[in-house]
Amino acid sequence: MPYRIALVEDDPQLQANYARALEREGYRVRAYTSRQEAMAAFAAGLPDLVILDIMLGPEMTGGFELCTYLRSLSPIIPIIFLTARDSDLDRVSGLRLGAWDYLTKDTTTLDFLPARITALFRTVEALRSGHHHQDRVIEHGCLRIDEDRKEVLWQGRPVSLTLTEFWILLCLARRPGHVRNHDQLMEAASVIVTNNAIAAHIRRIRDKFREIDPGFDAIRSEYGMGYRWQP
Amino acid sequence: MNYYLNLMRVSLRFKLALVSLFLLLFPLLGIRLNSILKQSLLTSQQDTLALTAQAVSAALANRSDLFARERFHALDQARDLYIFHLSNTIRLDGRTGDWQPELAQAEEFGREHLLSPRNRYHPDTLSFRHLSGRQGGHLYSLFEVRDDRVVYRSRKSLRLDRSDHLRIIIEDEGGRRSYIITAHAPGWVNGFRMPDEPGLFPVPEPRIQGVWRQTGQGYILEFRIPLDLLGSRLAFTIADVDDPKTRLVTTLIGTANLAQDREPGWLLTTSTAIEEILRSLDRPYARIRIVDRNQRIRAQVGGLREARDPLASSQELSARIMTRIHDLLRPLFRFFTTSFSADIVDQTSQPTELDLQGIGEALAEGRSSITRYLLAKGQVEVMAAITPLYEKKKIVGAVVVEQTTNSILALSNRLIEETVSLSLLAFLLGGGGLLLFASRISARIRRLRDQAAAAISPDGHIRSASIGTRARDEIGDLAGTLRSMLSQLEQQVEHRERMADNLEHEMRTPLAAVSASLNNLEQELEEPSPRIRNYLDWARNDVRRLEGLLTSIREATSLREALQQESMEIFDLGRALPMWLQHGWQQTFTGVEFRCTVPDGPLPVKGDPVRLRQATEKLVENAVSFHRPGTPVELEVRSGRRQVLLQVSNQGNTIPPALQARIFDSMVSLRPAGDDRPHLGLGLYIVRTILDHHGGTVTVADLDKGRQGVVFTLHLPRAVWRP
Repeated sequence: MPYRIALVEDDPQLQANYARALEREGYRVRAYTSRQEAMAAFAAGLPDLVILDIMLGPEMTGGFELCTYLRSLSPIIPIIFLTARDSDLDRVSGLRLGAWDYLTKDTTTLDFLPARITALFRTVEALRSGHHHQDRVIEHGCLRIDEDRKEVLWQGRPVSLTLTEFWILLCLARRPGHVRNHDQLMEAASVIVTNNAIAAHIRRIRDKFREIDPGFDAIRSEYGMGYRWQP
Repeated sequence: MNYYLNLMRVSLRFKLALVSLFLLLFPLLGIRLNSILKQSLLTSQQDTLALTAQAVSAALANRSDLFARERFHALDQARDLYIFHLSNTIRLDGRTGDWQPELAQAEEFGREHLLSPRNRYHPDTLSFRHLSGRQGGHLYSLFEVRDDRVVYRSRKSLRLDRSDHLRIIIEDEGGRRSYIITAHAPGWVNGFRMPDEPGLFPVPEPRIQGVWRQTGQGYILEFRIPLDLLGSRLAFTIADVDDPKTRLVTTLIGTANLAQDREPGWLLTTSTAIEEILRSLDRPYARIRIVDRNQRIRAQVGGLREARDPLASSQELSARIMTRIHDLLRPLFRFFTTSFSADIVDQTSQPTELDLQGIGEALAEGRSSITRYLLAKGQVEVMAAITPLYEKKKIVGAVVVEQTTNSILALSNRLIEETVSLSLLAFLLGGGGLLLFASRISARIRRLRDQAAAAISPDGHIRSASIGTRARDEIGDLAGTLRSMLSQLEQQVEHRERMADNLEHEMRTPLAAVSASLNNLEQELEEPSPRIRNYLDWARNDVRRLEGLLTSIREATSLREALQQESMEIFDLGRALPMWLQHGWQQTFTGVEFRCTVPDGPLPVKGDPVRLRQATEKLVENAVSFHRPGTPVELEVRSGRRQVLLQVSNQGNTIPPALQARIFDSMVSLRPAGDDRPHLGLGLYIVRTILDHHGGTVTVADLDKGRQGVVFTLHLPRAVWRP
């Protein structure tokens, strides 16, 4: 049974193009133009995954409100935010929403969207099933990563990372002490962004760890060329 | 212009200190007032003294009987004998020591007093000094005689006048008597009463007793006569005998020669009668003296010494504190006050004559006057009022009333002292107060300046609009204005950044749509022709280029904000640079030769490695764009005094000096032809912003050492290495 994806995007061309591309991937896509329209639909029935534009029509934060509404309906429905504004990234990262991610709208979006959708579906599966594959767990000192459920524990407490951040952390934590340069991290995170954007991701990851442990210093930068996990 | 402004920078405190010099007007005022007061007091004292003198003159005027009795009309200075009041006890020993200090006023008797024929007189043969004075109930007389040949009385002779002798003539109501004193040898002598009629023998008068002492120049005769033996007239004569054989009197010098039937001179002393009258006038702080026509003092009453101290010290606490302060300031006072001595050294020598300016005029012309003189150098100043003394329209003498100006001077000095110390106090307090106030104001202004400077970070980012001051005055207004300026600026910056944000969104969305359409087109086109494929590729490339531009713009405009969020660490720039080159630029710019120079030791800097790499990369990109093909791009990092320097240089065209100054501003661009990458002139602006954030600078210069080219230098503060 094909997955049902809801796409909430107020730009008609973008909406049509993305819907078409996703359908080609084999998903069933329902597109909505406004928050109200989407909310009405969700009230009737939830899709399997939601792709949200944050700025919907005249509402600057329509996407966030919609997100809150969705979470009230389902705690684990995967949500992908689409943003064009750089300032939204920090805000989105600050949300604690579980299985979710964000992407910038640009030429590479459609290239990486399918991989993300797949990963999110798999996460939801893992969360629902409750299985533990022991070889899908990484433990180093205070760090514990469950790859299937996309769960990260630091000193026993959960760290809520977005999908992109999770992949970056995984890339570092798989080979502790090894330096991963920007290109490798980009590849791991399925993005093509500037070095500064990678640095910004790393910063957000560090900030989230520091909320739990102010002395967190396990991610070291290597002369600005890369990073390594060094607990 | 700025140079001159710096030269002229004068702090507020200094300016207010200058203004406070106006407080010095106070002491000037005080001194002026003081001199006016002193003048007025002196004038009033003068008037009082003049009035007193006139009162005394009026009291004594026209007392003919008094004047006659007191011999005010005595005119012959050569004959009249003025009798002193002797201060020391006289011992009849032939020595003159006990006659001091009156001895200075002894009269010289010489040619002028010659009573014998003039043509036979030789000065060396006889002259003497004479002084007579009263003590106890006696008249003491001293004759210091210079005699070239002293001839004593012969023991064989009964005659008294056949040797050097002294003749005394006394005249009273009972008539005239004469006495002789002579000696057989030096020693004790007595007087002899000469008989009135010739033929009778002289009678010893034991009450006239004295001492005859031989000296090198002649002899000294010191004797005394009881006062009740004296009359109203007295005359002395010294007779000189030089030839022991003839024993004839050759020279006579004295005050009167009775042989020529001249009258003996008057015996003048101070007049007790007049002094009684003067005392009854009761002027306690003044000295009243009466002088006769010969300027001899005939009566003296009173003294100059003050009986009470008009400036008695008070025992109050405030007075005692003031006294303490005055003692401290005494050296300062000496500049301003006139010093005088409060001690009146009593003149032990009573002068016979009073020679003050003004007495001459009073006696001659009958003019009253006031004069001031010092008793002696450094002594008290005395003010004297002089008025002529009349008897029936004739001037017989003058009244001299004297008072010290001590009290006025003391008062004047006291006033000056008070003025000086009070003005000093006022100056200290006032000046101190002004200085404190100025300090406070300048401190407040400085604090405001610091707050304003702190409100904007070095790279132009507004930190906080917290400029606070609670005071409601001009400085408070200034603070309020600064606050509102800063918040307006903050709002504008925020607005601009939000605008950039919104703009990006508005542009990215359609671009993403175009890109997505192209994607779909590509996917759904079955076997597109090569030409179609080209169009699609070109279109996709251009969309990518547009996106890249948007990203550059966004990164540049939100750079400051982004830098704020990123964290700094301490890393070794010496090791970072080669790595950046090796793993980055070497691969990116394959055809370019790079040279990298790093020192041996560590070069720690504190910063964000990603950003510093970004900044260096911009410089490297520029260097590669502008380098002359075949020449290397040189990278070097080295240590400065307290800085770490990173230099990127290339050979090629230089940058015109005019452009060098502006090259780091945004939107200033200079690109070689053939560079097809999109550029907005933001690269160096980004470099400068990043360096600002790191507390450093970026500079550009021409290459040296004879090569033509450009070198960019990043200056970063050196960090302390904590491995």
